[in-house]
Amino acid sequence: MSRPEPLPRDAADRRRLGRQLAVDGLVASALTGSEAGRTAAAAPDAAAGSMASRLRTRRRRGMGLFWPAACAAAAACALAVFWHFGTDAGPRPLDGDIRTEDGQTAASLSTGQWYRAGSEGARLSAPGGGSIEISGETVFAPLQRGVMLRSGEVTGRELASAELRAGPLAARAAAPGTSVLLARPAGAEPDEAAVAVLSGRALAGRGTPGASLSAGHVLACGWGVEPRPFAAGELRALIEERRGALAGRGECDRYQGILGEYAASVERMRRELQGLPPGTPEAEAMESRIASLTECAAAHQRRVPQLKADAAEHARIDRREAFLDRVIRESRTGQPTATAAVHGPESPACGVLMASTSP
Amino acid sequence: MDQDEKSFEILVAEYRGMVHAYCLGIVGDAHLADDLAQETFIVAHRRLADFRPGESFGAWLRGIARNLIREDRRSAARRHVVADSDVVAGMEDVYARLDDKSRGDSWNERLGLVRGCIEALPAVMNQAMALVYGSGLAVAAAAARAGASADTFQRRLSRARDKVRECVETKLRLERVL
Repeated sequence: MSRPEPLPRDAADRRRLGRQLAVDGLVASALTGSEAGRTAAAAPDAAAGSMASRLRTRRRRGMGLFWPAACAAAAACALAVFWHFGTDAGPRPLDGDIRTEDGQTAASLSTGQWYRAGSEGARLSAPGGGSIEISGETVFAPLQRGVMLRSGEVTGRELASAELRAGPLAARAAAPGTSVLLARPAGAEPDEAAVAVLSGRALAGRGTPGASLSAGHVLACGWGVEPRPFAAGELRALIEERRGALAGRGECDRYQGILGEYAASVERMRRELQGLPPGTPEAEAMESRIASLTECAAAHQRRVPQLKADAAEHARIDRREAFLDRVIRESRTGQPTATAAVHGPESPACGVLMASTSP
Repeated sequence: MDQDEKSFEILVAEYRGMVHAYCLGIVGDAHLADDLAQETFIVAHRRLADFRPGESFGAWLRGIARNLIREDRRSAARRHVVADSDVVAGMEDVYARLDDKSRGDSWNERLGLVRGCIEALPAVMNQAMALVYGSGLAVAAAAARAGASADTFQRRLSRARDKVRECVETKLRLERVL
């Protein structure tokens, strides 16, 4: 079925093919039934009853990932870190308020100041949620207000072994002047993260930075693609292709609307039924219509979980494509074009931590 | 509009078996046919005002289903089938006959008629139908399961289809006479 089979040249043969397809459909449908019509097909009908044992129970193909969130795009935002491997950075002391959080000492970091993570590394949090681990001795500068040091030390300088981690990914520069964009969605699966090289060359990998990435290339974890470097454009085309198997973006809302209409109709018919004398043909006809409508609604309802999963997958693809678009754009110029938060309208509270080592 | 809505509900219950069978015949995938059948009724519900009373509701639904098959990426391999007017006319030869509302019975009952005809087949043909259409096996796998060569099995299946078609047509003619 993957390749179109050629049709017969002769018109009569094509017409015959049409009749055959019609019979094929009827026979297959009679033997297996449709999801919606199975109840009716299994009704105590002389012919149907004897075939009921052949009716198979079907299970819908799942998408694997299902976020039981609202139909609208799932609220997940990107926590992005940009850092630049340079030559040196002057050591700066921690600057800002000292706070106590969860019984531990924490400090808010000033924007535009250079910091270096201590030998044990550091964990920072962005104001909208999400966090990033800074590996030991990394020098960086937060470019967003409200970034918090959640644990570890931030004091020194030196860039020789600068390395950043997000989720399962680790990356470090393999050439002077390397710029890397590291992204990890807040609230993402523990496995999800991506690293892209904007200029220069970096080593990146799962746990250990083993794969070499040149400018414009991306390594992603938890995206359902091979764990190897992809050109950003190639990866974008690959994930865009997945939309083909998904229901349209608005389908879930549309189905919910139809289900609302069904519910209202059933409610209205039940009220009408109460006004009819029980046992009369009118009442029985009304009961039959209610049963029929309820069955239709149930058939639609069965599709909703899949549509929700498809909507969530659209949202994930949108977020990943936004990241890849940025990589494509910025790896051409070698310069970051945006320092604003990367978040969609569905996640207004999402924050972005921008950190950079000293140029 | 309330009355229209109620009429539509009844029509959905009556025609969903037909729409599913129609889509299944074209796309050959039961899951996809389920989806397309549901889509067809959603579109029909939205466009109910376009339907002209007196026309065949079944034919109108099949037109919607064909459009959906043309647009659905999952059925890309069968798009050309519904784009060919002769193939479509051949399908209509069968479906228009089953659409006949003179007896007032439902499509599910008509499918029951098809089941009755399959049951009446000789055992080997009945088995061939059950393996290919009931269990969804490819012809080669079904032939192996039946212990027959692929050619023999294909001929058996073809004869079984012809017999079912003849049986359904005979029953419909008899019903009209009676």
